[in-house]
Amino acid sequence: MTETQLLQFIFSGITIGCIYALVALGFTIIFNTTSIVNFAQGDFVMLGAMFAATFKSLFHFPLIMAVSLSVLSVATIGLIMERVLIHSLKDDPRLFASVMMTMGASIIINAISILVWGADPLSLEAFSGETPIRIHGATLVPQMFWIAGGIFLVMILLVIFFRFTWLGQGMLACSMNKDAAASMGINVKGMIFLSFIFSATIGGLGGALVAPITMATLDMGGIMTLKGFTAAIIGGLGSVPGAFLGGIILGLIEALSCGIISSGYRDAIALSILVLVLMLKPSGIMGSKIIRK
Amino acid sequence: MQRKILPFLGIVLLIIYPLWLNEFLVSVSIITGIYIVLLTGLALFLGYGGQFSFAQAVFYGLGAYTSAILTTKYHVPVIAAFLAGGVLAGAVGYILSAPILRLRGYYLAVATLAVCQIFHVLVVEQFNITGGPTGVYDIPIFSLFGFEFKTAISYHYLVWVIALASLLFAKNLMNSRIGRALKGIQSSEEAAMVLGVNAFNLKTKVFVLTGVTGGLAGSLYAHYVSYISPGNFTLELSIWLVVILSVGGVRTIMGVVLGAAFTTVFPFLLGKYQNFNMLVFGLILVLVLKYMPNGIAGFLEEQVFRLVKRTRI
Amino acid sequence: MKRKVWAVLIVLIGFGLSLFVSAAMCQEPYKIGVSLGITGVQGAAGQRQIKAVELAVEMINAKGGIHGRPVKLIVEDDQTKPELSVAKTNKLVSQDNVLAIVGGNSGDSAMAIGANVEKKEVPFFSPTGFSGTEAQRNYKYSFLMIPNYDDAIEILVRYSIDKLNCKNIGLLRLTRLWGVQASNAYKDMAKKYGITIVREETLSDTDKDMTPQLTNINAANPCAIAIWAAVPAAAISIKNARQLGIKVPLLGNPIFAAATTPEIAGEAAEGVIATATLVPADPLPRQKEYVDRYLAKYNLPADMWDAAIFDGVNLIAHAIGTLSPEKVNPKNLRNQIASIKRYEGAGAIVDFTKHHWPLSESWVLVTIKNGKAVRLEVK
Repeated sequence: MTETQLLQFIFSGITIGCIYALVALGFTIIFNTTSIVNFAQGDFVMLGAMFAATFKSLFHFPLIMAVSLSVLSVATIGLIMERVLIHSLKDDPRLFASVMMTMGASIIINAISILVWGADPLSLEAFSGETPIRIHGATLVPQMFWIAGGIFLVMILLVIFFRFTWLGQGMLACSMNKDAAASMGINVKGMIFLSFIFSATIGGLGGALVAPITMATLDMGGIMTLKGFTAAIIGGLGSVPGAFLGGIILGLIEALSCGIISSGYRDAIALSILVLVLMLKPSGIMGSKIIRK
Repeated sequence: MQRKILPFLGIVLLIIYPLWLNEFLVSVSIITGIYIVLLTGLALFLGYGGQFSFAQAVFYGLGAYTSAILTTKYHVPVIAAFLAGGVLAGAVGYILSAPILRLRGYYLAVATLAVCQIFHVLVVEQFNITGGPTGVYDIPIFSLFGFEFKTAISYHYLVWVIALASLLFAKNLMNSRIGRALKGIQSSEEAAMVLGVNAFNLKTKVFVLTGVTGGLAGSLYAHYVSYISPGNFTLELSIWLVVILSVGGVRTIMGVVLGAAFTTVFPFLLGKYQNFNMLVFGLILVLVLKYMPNGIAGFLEEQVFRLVKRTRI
Repeated sequence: MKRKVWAVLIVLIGFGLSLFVSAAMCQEPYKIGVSLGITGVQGAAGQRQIKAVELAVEMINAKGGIHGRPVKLIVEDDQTKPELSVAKTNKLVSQDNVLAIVGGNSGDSAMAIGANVEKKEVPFFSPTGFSGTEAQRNYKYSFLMIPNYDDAIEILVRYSIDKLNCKNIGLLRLTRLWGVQASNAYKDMAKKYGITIVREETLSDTDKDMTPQLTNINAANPCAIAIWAAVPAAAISIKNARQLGIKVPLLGNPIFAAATTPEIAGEAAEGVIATATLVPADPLPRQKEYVDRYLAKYNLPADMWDAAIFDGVNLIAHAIGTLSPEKVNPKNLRNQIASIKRYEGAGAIVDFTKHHWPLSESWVLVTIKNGKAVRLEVK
């Protein structure tokens, strides 16, 4: 195995890892506010991809408009989801019920999507062309830089949000102790409402960014949820840098096991490592020592 | 005298009704029975262990493949292969419990999810043992001491005897000391431990139970359809089993029966396009979560209870 | 306690009674059952195929049906899941009493349904190719409407040797059954023609990046790379190959000839070589009517798999027509079908007296030119 090959595997890992990281980041807001893992998060990404591809490739809107409209549409769907489903749960629902509710949302979103889009995949043009960038013999697609840019933007915003804004701190307080937060004057229901909109926005943006690489397909949702969730767990649920790290690590493990060991056993290897990580550090690499749930 | 006759008639009716049904409906009944066996252990783990397990498809698959391979390649008698399937699945459950069961909540969920995927990869890649994507075909008919369960009706009775046995077993388990300890863990693991309950051991026992019942169900399935492939035992199935129990209700026998029945009957209720089905199912799931926290079975029981209260003076 | 028992009994009896739903049994039309994955993994293909089935029935009924009786479809979606397809075919056979079944649009669904109809003795047409298993070879009731993929691969290999002067081929293929078949076929061809598979790698349908596998393949210096995958993984693979700077010819599978692949893969797909039975942009004379009608009715280009199932329905109708009405039953139907000597359909050419899948002459070479799949004429 040459240096170039190894580098190529690493680039592949980073590419796919960034995709996973984008999904994982979407989990953090809802989790930090409600301790719910949103099983529809991958579907937000799928919707972002489908909307962007539809607006740009089918309706021929200019790129910026297509992406913005797409993010807006997904955010709206997140809003609807919260109002109709989550909000309507009785006060203080069991966590299990809330998580199942997101699964229900996922099922409904997927069923409606098939009706709307049919089953054919859609493509989205890369934002700045397809000419690969060569570094030391290995290649990277230009779209990667858009994805990386998106990730860093989202991460910086999230870190600032949770650490330095009143709103962000309020959201964190909600997940730690709802009643205490409420008694401090925090509008818990409002926080939950916003958290879904924010997570949907991140998901939608993520979908638009990755679609040029992954294509926009209706079965993306399930896979993205699973991989993103796995990445978030590796990095520690709720941690913003953890989500990013988890995504990159998962991507790298997949690409390296695929390239160096065996393409067939790739998933088995990646997941075995995950189980090992969980046995050694059950709350993930950057997860807090307090195991919330 | 009258009080005894009506329930007795009801039971007799239940026993003989399959004789009137066409083969398709009998097949629905058979698969329902198999799912009851598959779901019983999982219901205990979910409802009383209080834990997610997305590994149920693994046990189902282990039982199915063990039984299929032993009978096709090694010509082991079916009944032995059937039991071997259950034992192997249970053993794997035991081995897995050590690393996994100390995890909680989401982390346990992901670990079981990982196990499910790893199993799938192993089945696909180890084609010398499992046949890989081609699967195992020509799986022989179930036979017990020379009697072959060739007809659908005979298989129906076989499956339902086993299904009812597992339900009975679960019920007795919950009424025993183990059951009480489980209920204790479920309300508060810490409190239970203070009282001397070894939560980890208990969870392991229930997990192994999900393995054994899952494995037996898998074997029943394999000998019924005569062809199995990795596509039968996916993560999607594992997730579905958890979801359907949430809808049916995890803590009652009726919940398990409802879950099993729903899984088999539902794809036929709305006809042509399955995504309408999925849409309706999503809506049902959401409504059940909102209005029936104990699942449909729990809800029905509450209604019956209220009826009783109201008719008492 | 009493009431509880009653409640349980009522629910269980209710369940039992609900199973007595009787289908409206109209004796008049000839019923054909459909068990297709209209949603699920092969949902995209399934949706096109159900359209083809409906078109076939429409055309048959427009001509007055068979023996003056209409053909009626009973459609079931099996979500491309093998166990659901077994349950659905059970319903179609026992409850709806269909004469024949079309469907099973994935490898293991076709195997599962095939095993089932063999016991139920109902003929079954599937838009899939032969899986290579002994079981399926011996099934009397399964009729596969896609020619053997092994023959397609043989054509590609010969093209590679004759026209590309290439004997070192790299292979990237799916982990599932279809990919395993391709792998076995390429290995057989390696023995037969003395070529070498320099490196073999696998991928899954849901993979989003194949650069590791392609890097490994490329490192073994092939003069051509064969890719055997479905959409969108196939399109992504082609793009990845070009991204890595791989310039050698790419040999594909029939998916590459479908209209959507060049659309999604874009420029990267230029020059890819594959085989198909039907090329929508460039049909053979016998295929033109189907392609035109499909486009006119659905505003979509046809592809070889929906042509395959279209032929399946027509073959069933043809066979029914050769029997006298009172003799029409699944078993006789099967015997009639099995005796068909030569039928040139919209998709493939069959001779069921030889084997239950089409002849290898059904394959044509295809290449992608200017974003469209066209037939490649080879002298």
